[in-house]
Amino acid sequence: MSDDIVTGNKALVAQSIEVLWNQGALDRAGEFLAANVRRHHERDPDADLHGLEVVRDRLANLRRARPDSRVEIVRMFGEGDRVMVHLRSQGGGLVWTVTAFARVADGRIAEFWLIADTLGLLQQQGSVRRFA
Amino acid sequence: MTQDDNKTVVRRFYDEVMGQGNVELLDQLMAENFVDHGEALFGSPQGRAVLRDGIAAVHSILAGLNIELHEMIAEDDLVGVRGTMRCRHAGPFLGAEPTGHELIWQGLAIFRIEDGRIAERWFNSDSITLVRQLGLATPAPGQNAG
Repeated sequence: MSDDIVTGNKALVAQSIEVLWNQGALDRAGEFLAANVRRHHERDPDADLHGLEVVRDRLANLRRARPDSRVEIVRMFGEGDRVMVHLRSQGGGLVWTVTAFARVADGRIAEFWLIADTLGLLQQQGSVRRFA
Repeated sequence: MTQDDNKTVVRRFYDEVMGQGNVELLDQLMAENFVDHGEALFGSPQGRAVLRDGIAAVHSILAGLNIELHEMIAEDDLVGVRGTMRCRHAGPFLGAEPTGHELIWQGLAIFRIEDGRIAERWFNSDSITLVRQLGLATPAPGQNAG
């Protein structure tokens, strides 16, 4: 029973990545994200995103900035209502990794934490120097 | 090995190896041919010995390193954590002279456990924040600040 829940949660997260990011079908965001979804910011709780519209708008902005970017799932697993995923992203000639941690409730992603290799991206763009 | 056993291995890695600097314990907790899939800052050290030397080298520099694990999950041979790293910048790090400042940043990590030892890791930490706290987020030579 519990394994079925984890399997369903993983399918939800995998599909959300494919549909919302790789296909850019943001009009379908409500199929994957809860109405009160919360995106935890990696350093500033005041910058957390609250609500489906706000998260969808942010996704739209990110996709506009890198329209050709695609992500592939490297590892995904779950326990209880949690799912964790490690992603490899590429776009605009850049490659970077992302790790995310999600809580699923009532068949939708209710909240998630996400950390991308922002430093690696900035270094590839030359806006932050590399370290030996 | 149960999933609880696997979680214990990861918890001991953070508490005893990273936190207390007991790098000798790595022989027990990590496979010799450990494979890391990291990010730009911390790279992808291959092999237990490389990681052990790295942790030993930074332990007195990142003084009082403490990893607070907010959540831990496990399925099959994988264990995942969400945590916060805290330490004091007590020695030269990445070329930054010691400031004595507290450094604090978040991380997400996934471990694969094989025969009771950490065999592989995938992670992202908020390394841009760490680099900014060290005052090192400056442009590459020849680039405009962006």
